Amino acid sequence: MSKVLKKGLVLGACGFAMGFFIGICMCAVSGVIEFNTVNIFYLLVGGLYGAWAMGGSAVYDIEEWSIMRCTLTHFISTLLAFYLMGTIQGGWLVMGSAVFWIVTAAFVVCYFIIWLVQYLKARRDVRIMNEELEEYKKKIDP
Amino acid sequence: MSNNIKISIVPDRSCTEPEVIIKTGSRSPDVEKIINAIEQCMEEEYPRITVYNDDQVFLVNQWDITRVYTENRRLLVCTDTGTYVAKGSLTDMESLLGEDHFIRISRFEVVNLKKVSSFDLSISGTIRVQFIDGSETYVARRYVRDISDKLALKKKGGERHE
Repeated sequence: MSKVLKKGLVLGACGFAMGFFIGICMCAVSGVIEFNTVNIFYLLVGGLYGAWAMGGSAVYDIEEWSIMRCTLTHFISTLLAFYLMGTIQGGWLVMGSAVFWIVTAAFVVCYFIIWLVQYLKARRDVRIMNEELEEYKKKIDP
Repeated sequence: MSNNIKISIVPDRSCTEPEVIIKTGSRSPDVEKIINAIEQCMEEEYPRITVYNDDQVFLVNQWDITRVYTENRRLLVCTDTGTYVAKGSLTDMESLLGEDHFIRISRFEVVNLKKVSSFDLSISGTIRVQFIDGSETYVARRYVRDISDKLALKKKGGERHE
């Protein structure tokens, strides 16, 4: 099993626990105290979403992929999974509604920030590498 | 060999690598022996690499190598004169190449820093290595930190021997 897949599974397990826990918190906040089959199903769906989102972050470990490819892949997969979760969980997320657009905008902003931070860090790394390469060349060929 | 050969060592802090200058009236057999001994010493530290092209076998000097990489389960050596096939794994090859000048940039590739002209970053976030012959390749994100650390060590000189 590849390292990326192993990491994905481990993160997925953590993500499932987090998703499930967040679901329980949301139930508490919204005053839902009855844990019937439907509610437990919704909690499991939330857990699965957590597993998908967190496990999917292992995509950043694929060395051959660029920052943009990793970020776009994770963005699209988690956003679509979020839509699916919102639809399955009693349809609280209606396509085209205000909540839908707010969620979509939040995802776009968050993932843009994630890409930007990584890009700026890579730009700094490249600048440092070029400076050190110049020093190295001066050293071997003064 | 003649007993009249004088050996002088001239300390010079500006020299980063030893430079051998042979002062002689003519290129005598003794001088040839000295040159061969020095070349043999260099060969031990930077062994030439055996490569293949179809049925032909070549020995290439390390300083002529631009990069070594794996592709389709083959180990390829890219030099000034062309690309050749080598035997063994990339790790085995890496152990032969002088660590002074060769650096791993991904799981599949080792490059000669002497042949690198610059690094640059594309909008998609991939770090590209530009070589002096115009060719290019890509650095894996996981190796960026290693490359920076190794370049910093090479810049500082003897620290890595501590």
